[in-house]
Amino acid sequence: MPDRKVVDIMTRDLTALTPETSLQQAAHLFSLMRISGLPVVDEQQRVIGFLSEADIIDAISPRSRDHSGIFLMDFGEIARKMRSASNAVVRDYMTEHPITVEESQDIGSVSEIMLTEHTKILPVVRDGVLIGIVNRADACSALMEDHWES
Amino acid sequence: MILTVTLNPSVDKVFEVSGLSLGGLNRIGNTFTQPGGKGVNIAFMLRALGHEITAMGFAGDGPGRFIQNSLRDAGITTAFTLLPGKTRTNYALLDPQAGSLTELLSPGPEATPTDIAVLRSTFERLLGLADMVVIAGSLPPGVEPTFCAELVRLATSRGVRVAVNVREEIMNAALSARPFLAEPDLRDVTVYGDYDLSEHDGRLALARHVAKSAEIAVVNAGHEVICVSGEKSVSVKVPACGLLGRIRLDDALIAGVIDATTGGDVLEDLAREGVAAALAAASSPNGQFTSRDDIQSCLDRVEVTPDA
Repeated sequence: MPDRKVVDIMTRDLTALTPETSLQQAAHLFSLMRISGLPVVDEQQRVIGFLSEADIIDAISPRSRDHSGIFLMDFGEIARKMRSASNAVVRDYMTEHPITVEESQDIGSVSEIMLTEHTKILPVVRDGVLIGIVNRADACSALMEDHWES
Repeated sequence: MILTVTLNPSVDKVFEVSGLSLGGLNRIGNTFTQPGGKGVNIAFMLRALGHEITAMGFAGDGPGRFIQNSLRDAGITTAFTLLPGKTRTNYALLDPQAGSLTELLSPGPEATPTDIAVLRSTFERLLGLADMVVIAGSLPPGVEPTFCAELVRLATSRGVRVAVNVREEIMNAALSARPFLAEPDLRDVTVYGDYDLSEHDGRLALARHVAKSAEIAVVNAGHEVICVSGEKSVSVKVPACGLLGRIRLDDALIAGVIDATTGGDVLEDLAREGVAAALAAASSPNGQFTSRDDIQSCLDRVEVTPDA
């Protein structure tokens, strides 16, 4: 089935975060859903951000680099980050104005975006409003199927 | 968009066991497995009638993923709050020889205050897109009946109509928030509060009681359905259904009534479509109608009688 579009492979799920969701709650959701990121939406369901598990790790990871680029444990930093993360909300760590795709886009172009932007999940929007997500595994499967069929 | 809320969905396993013997050796005939829970069933049936549906609620692991995937395969958008435990599995044993239906219902995984907060947040977020909300089914451990009332209140305060189909304790709480449509779940119930459901008058009195707090009240006693709105009430005698039809008759009924409300609010029409939907579901292989034509074909079997 060549020329498949996002609409053919997207997951019609509206699970999302709001800017006020606590980072702890977001981490809880990622863990339960076994997902690496979620869109952040406003009251009108417009996608205004994206929070990845990397953002959460960055928020709570107790690390710093030395001059040679090696990660060093800093126990003062550990305590500080743990304290600030416990009160943190998604707004503080999300990527604003994230890349989104539309349901009519072809899978090839979406895969390209995933590769260049190093992202596993992209929100799918219609007029800016979240209608689902597309993930890299589904895009990869679809591309492989198209490849073997052709 | 119609937003369905199923706080305790299930996977329903149905086994046909002819001559079921408790404590004996039984052989299974036909069997099938499908997603269940009142709200989920209603979501599937409203979707079959062409409505745009978003299904939310709690879902655990394992069977919970099966439920969500099945909903999405049917073109329903999902937004479930995941729980760490496994979604429950319910069992129904159909005995065609005895004409009996035995159901075994599990409690479901527990929801913590954090889970409840996540679900509330999702509900509030999606209310902005909803034209109507349907809250149906049981509550998982950890969720109080007042939470259901809270959801009704959140929706009605934003002008969104709410339909509730829940058991007595939850219904009593929900009615305090004045839903649009209320149908008490009367499975295995012969007395509801002070109302004796074995008599028509008792059922009518219950429907009138519910209609004091809801614009439309529906009482389904299996062989009779009563609808009340304001001072007006109608009754429908429901023709006998097969065993399988009994499992989801109630869900099909409210799906039919909800569908009818989107086209108008003539009480006779709501009752007629609701019962026709129930009959259509009862005659399908899996207890769910699959199209509007299924309902249309049953309309002439439904006779609506105005109550005095």
